[in-house]
Amino acid sequence: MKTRSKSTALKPAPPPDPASLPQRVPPRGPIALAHADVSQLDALHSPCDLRRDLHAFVNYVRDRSVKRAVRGNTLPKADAARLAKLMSAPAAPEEVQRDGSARWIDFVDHIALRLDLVSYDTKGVYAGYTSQEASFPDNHIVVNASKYEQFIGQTLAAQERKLLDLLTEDHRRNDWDSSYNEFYTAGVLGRLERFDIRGAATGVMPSLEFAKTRRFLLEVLAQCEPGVWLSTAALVAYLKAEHPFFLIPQEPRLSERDRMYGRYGNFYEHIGDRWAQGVAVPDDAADGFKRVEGRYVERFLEGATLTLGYVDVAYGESPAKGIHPERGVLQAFRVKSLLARALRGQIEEPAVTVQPNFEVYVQAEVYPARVLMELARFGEVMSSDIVTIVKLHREKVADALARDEKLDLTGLLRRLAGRDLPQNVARELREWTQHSEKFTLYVGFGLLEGDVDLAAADEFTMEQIKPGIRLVRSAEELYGRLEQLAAMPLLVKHADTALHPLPPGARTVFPIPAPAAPKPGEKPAVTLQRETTVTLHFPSEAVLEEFRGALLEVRCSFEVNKGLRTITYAGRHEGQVAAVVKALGQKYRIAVADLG
Amino acid sequence: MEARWGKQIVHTNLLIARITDPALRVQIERAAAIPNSLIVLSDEYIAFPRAMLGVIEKTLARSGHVIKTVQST
Repeated sequence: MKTRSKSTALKPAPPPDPASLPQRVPPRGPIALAHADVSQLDALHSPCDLRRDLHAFVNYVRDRSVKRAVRGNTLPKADAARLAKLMSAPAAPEEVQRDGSARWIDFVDHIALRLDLVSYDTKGVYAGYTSQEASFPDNHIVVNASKYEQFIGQTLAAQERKLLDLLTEDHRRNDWDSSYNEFYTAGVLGRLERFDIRGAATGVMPSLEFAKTRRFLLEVLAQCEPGVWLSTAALVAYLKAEHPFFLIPQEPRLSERDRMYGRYGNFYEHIGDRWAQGVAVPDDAADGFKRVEGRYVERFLEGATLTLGYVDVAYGESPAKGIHPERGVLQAFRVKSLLARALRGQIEEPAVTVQPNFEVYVQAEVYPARVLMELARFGEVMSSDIVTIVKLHREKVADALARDEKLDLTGLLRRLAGRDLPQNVARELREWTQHSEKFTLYVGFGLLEGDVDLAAADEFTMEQIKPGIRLVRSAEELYGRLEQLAAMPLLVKHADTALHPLPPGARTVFPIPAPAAPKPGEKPAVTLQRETTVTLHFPSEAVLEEFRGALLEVRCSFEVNKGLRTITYAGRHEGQVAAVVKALGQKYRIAVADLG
Repeated sequence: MEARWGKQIVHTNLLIARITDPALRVQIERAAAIPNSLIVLSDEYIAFPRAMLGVIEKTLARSGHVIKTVQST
């Protein structure tokens, strides 16, 4: 056995030489592996649904303004607690309560970011010269709406492929990172110990092609008998016999510096204490394949495959007690038929059935986000599993129809179901459509009470409520227009809390307050409304006519008395009159003197 | 001028609603039975101050109705 203790400087790996890479030819036929008895094992069927929780996460951050923590860039505890209730991980609420975060929620957050469904700062800023770590001030999560629409607009098979590719790709956190793989990093649902990170950047590690290895193993699993528990040891034995170089090439490509590591020289086992001095697995060890590739296979099974629900796994006691990282613990696995269909792009679109009791059954192998998002607007999700049941509600349907006049719910349901709706449902939907139009609220409009044939108001009129009352747009602009036409309009701006009473004499359907009856012995109250008018006296009829013409041009309301050579106007038109005086000032020297 | 005054009245800052269900209109009129809080313009149209919207929304919600909103553009 050889030991390695010296550290090695991290350098990005050069591109691999194709000749030195392992030949991974996927098996063409079924693989017969020994069945496993899991009665004494701890079987794990993942309760988490990544597809569903991704949408729960995106919808949550879209509806709320989520600002990440300044220190650590984590989700705030309050948001994590709410997300825990929305997501499928049963342990998440307790985990958040205890630790302030939950692995599953952080994982979903991470996947949403890598899928580009959301965005936020991941680099941060160093607040000061002595800062030990980056800060993330005002780091809000933003939903990339177009990317999200694009994602859920794809077929379920394409969505699944995208998730599968993402979880199996060779993801590195930076150019020097070779540790983001099953050997060193635990999957979100993984339980097994990992290798010591000390060997992560040395030996064969930087040259290994994990993405191709994972896809090859998925192909192998897809050829295994589905639905029965199979022995992991049998799978490792099969790989050793048929594909011994599926992970590490026969002739590993090693740099001059790393040649001393050999094939397994950077995989350290710790005897007794997990943190004891590591001992590298010898290249010539008879069980070297089990100790390195075997450990990889175990960790692969509890990685992306378990996360995506393609396998169930069963854990037992380690046969080699006291050796770390443990091996032989994940003793059995059960492949689901979903895996083969996901790999072949054969996941079918959801089957939608509308029942006469207004329940819509949506049957899908994976979470049908698009269909459920559409249906959730019209009803309540009663149960969510392989078959999701959405009960249509009259209020929700009416509300959706009220918001979107062009919505054709019957057509939408018919398109989703691929057949006509039950007759009673179609009939009710028609009635619900009418129901949505029973109360129409006009916001930002005004009312005009006036002459029936007021042509100037026609272009502002939205509805003729009854002769003499119109629903109008841009009410204040209409008022200005009527003023210009000398129609003597009255502008009533109502208070937010009550309708403003109109003055006596107005022609209106609005209330005009009657004078309050005086109490016995009390003097009656009288309110006098005051308006100031101005009368201009002209020295000659010619000047009067010229002035009158100018006032008409600026559409000012006034009265003329030719006998007395006077023009009388309301005080509020002073501005228009002043403009006319100024204009005529070019022709006359005009002075205005008040009569004694 | 005096003869023309008060014949053309422009009302602003109020809400106008069209109710096509007479029973619903009666419910709303009862709910808003406060002086100067609602005016019936015709068989189908009413007007009310903004603050009354909450009361009307509650009445609508109780009877399972929804509001179709038309915004002035």
